[in-house]
Amino acid sequence: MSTALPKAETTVVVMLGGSTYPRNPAFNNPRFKHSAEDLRAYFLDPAAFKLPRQNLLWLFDSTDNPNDLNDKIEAFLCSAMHGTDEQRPMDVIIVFIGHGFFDDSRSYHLATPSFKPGAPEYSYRFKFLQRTVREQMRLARKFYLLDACYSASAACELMSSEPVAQRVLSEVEAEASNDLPQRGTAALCAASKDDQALAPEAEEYTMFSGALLSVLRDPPILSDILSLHQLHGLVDDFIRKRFGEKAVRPEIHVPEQKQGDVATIPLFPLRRVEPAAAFSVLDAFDAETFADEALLYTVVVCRSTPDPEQLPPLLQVVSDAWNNFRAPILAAANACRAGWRAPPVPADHEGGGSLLTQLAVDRAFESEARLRSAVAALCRAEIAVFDLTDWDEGATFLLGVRAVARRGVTITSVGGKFTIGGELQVPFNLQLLNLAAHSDAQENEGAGKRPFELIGGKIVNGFHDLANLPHYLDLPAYDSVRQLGVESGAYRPVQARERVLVLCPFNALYTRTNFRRLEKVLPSRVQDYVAKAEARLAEKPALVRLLDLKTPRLVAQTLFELIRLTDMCVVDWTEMRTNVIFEAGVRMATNPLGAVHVIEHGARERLRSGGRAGHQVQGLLSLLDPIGYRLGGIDTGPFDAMVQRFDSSLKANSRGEVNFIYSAVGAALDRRSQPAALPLVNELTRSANILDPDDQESIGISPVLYHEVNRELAAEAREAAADRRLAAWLFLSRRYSAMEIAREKLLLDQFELLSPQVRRWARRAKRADLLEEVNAQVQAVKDAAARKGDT
Amino acid sequence: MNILSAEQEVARLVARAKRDKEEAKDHRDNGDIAAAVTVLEETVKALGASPLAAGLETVTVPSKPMRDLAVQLADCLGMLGGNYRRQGRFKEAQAAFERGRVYEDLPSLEVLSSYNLINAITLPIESDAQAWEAQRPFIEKAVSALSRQVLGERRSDRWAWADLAQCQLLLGDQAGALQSYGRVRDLGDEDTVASVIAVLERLGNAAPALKSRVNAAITYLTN
Repeated sequence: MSTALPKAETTVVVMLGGSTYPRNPAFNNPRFKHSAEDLRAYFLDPAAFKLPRQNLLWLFDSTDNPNDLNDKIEAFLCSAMHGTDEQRPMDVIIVFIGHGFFDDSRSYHLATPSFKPGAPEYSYRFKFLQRTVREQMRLARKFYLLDACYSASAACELMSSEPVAQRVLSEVEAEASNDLPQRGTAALCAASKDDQALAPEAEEYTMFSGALLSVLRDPPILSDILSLHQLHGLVDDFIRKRFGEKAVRPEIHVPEQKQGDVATIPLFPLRRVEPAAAFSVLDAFDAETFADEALLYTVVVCRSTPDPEQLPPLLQVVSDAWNNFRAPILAAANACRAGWRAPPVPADHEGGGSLLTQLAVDRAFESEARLRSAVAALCRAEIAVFDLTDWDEGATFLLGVRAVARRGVTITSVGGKFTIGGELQVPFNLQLLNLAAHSDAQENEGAGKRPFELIGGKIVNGFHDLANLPHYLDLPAYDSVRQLGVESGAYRPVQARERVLVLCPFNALYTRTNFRRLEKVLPSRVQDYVAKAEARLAEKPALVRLLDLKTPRLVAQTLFELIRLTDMCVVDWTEMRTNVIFEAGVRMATNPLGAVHVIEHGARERLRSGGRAGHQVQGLLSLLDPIGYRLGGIDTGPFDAMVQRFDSSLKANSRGEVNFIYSAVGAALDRRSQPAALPLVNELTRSANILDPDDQESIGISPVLYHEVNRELAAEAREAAADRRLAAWLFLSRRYSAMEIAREKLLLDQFELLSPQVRRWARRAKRADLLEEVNAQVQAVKDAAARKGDT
Repeated sequence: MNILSAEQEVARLVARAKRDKEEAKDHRDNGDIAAAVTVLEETVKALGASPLAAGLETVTVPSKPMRDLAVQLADCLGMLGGNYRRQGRFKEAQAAFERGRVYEDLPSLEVLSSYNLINAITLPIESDAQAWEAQRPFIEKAVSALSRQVLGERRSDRWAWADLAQCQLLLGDQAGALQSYGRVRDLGDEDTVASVIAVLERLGNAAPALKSRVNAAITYLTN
C-alpha cells in the first residue's frame, strides 16, 4: 500500500445512483437526491474535502444505460490516470446512493434510473463497476461508500431487505483478492448483513447518508480529518443516538490488507460549521461598519470586481481563511486583547463577533471623504489584508498609512502568477515583507500551502506574536516613526532652512534629469523664502534623498524617522514608483504638514492620456494635486509654487489645521493598540518571560542565545527576569488595593502567578522581609476576596 | 465542545496549570511537600476533567488545544510524581509517572519531555535494587527513543540529555553516559547539575551495584 497520505488533488470521486426511476416511479425517493447532492457539495467544498471540480464524475440520476455508464466511468478514470505524476490519482472514492437488488444468479445490481423491473440488464451490475475501477486504478486505493437500498417500492422507508451488505462485501472481497500489492480496498455500507437500511420519510436524507453528512459537516470530535474506520465509528454512533432502536448499523469491510488497512488512512477532512455572517462582506467605507468597538474587524484592501456577485480573489481567500481558521484566530485575538486588558471578542454576537469588510481600493480615492473613510478603516481593523498584485498604487499608498497608524496584524499578498518562493521584483523598502500568495498557481501547491491556509495561518501567528513580542512588526516604519530618541532634541522638527527631503525614484535617468533639475532650482527658492520669512540671511538648504544621508544606520530606520521629522518633504510622483508611493502614505500619516507633491509635466500628461493610470491613480493624484514641473527652461514658477504649498501648510498648521490624512488617523486610531496601552504588569511579565520563561524548570531548552557557550548569560537572564517579576508584583500590589485585585480577574490571575514566583526569589535571596510582605499581601487579597463574596 | 470553546477552555486550563505549578514549586522549595501535592492533585483533577482530556491517551489526530492540554497534564503528573516520591509514596508516584508517560509516548501529542518515562522506569529501581534487570528492556527502548530525540528537536534540551545519560549509565554504557552528561553540563546551569546529581545519588544509594558508575558520573559532572 502506498504510504503517501491522500490529497484532494490526487483523489477522484465517482458518484452514481438515482432518485427517479421512470420505468418504476415507486422507486422514486427525493432523499437519495438530497443525500447525493449534499455529499457532492462536501467533496467540492473548499472548506471541506476541497476536491478539484474536474476530479469528480457526477453520474447521479443519469439515464444512461449500464454500458454507457460503465464507458463513462472507464474513460474518466483512464483519463485521470494519464495525467502528470503529480496529478495521477492515488485514491478513488466510489459513491452509490439508491436502490440495489439481486438477480436470479445472486449477482448484485445497482438500480440506476435506467432500471426496468424484471430486467437486470437495465441496471448496473456491481461486479462490472468493480472490475472497471480495478482495471483502471490498479495503483490506487479504492474506497466504496454504498448507501444502497433494495426494494422500497410501497413504503419508501424500506431499504435492502436482503443481506445486501454481506453480498456486496463478498463481491468486493472476491474482486479485491486479485489486487496487486501497494494498494487496498475498503467499503463502508449502509447496513450490516442482519439489518435493513432505512430512508425515514421524516428525514431529509437517508439514514446512512444523513449521518455521514452530519459527521462530516459538524464533527463531534476535535479532529481535522477522519479515516474510514473513524468515519464508520462516528456514523454508527450518530445513528444509534439519533434513531435509537430503529438504528440500522453501518458496516465497514476491508477485504484486502496485505499492505495494511487502507481504512486507517486519514481521508475525509472535516468541515467546520461557521456562522453564516462569516460570509457576508461589509463595506469598509461605511462608518457604521466599524461602530462596535468590541468586534474583530478584518479589512481586505483590494480592487472590486466588475461582477458584484463575485468576490475579488483575495477577498474570497480571506473569507475561506476565516471559515477554516475562525476558532484559532479568535482565540489568538482574544489572547492579544487580554494583553491590552480589552474585553474579548463577543462570540455571542451575531456573526460570531467578527466582521469581514472590503476596502475597494479603486474607490478609495474618489474624494477626500472617501479617503478619510479608508484611513479610518485601516486604523480600526485589527486585521488588514492587502492585495499588492502588480504593486497596486492605491493599495501601496494605503499600506504606507497602515504601517504607521496601527500595530495590528497586516498581511500582504500577491496574486497574478506569483507563488511563494517565485521570482518577484520587490521595492527596496518593502523587501522585508513576508508576502503571501493568492494566485491560482498557489492554489495548486497542495494542502498546507493553499492561499487560505497561508493567510489564515499568518493571521493566527500574527496575533500570537503580537501578544507575546513587544516589538512585533509585519510592516516597516511603525517603530521608526515613534522611537526617535530619549532626549527632546531628537524630536525637533527638521526645518526647511536646514534640509528638504525628497521622496523620489533613484534610477540613473531620474537622477540625471529630474533630480538634477530639482536640485538646481528648488534650494534657492527655499532659501529666498526662508530669508524673507525670517528677515535674515539664510543658506541654501540641503535637498536630500535617502541615499544622500551620511549615516551608518539602517536605511529603513533613517528614512522613516526623517519622513516624520522633516518639515518640507517633496514627493515626486514621476514614474509612480512603488517605494515612493509607500513612503508618501507614511509621510501623509505621520506629519501634520503633509507633503509637497510634484510630478514632471510630461509624466503627468502621459498618465492622463496613456491609460497607464487607472481610475484610482487619477483620483489619488487629483486629491494630492501634484505641482507639474518641467525638466528645462527658465520658468521657476512651479518651484515657487512648491515653496508656496509648503508655506500654506505651515500657516494652516499654525492655525491648528493638519493634513487630512494625519487628521483622519488621529481621529480613528484605536488607542488600545498604541504603545502606551500595554499595561505595565503585562509588559514586565512579557519581558521576563522572553528572558526566562516561567516553565524553564520543566522545559529543557533555554531561550538565551549563546547560553551553552557563555554560562553567565543564562544566569543573568534568569536574574533579570526575576527582577522584572518582582517589579511587576511590587507595582501590582501598590498600584491596586487588595480589593481591586480580588475583584478584577486579570489582576487576580497575575497576582496569583507572580506571588509564588516572588516568594521563591525572596527565599533564595534570603529576604525574609519581602517574604513576609508577600505573605501578608496574599492574605489581604484572600480576605478581600472573601469580603467580596460576602457582599 | 466546539473549536472556539476548546481554545478558550485550554487557555483557561493552561493558565491555571501555570499558576498552580508555580505555587507547588513554592511549597516544595519551602519544604511543604504535602501542600505541593494537594495543589497538584487538584490541578491534575481539573485538567483531567476537561472534555478535551477524554480520549487523549489514544487520539490519533489531536487538535492544538488537546496537544496543549497534554503538555500540561504530562508536566503536572511529573511534578506530582516527584512530590509523591519525596513523601515516600512510591506507589502513587509510580502511578503518576505511568499516567504521564502515556502522553509523552504518543508522538501525535508532541509532548517534548521524557521526565515521566524515565521516572516510571527508574523508580522501581530506586525502591528495589533487584528491579534493575527487569527494567532493562524498557531502558533500552528509552535509549533508542531518546537517542533519536537528541538528534532532533530536543538536541538542545538539557533534560533530554540528562535522561539519556541516566539510561546509558543504567545499561553500563559509561562512555556514552559521560558524553551525554557533558551535554547536560554544557546546556544546563548549576541547578540542572545539582538536580541531576541528586537523582544519581538516589540511584547509587538504592542500587549499590550501580555505585561505582554513579560516582564516576558525579565526579564527571562536578569537575
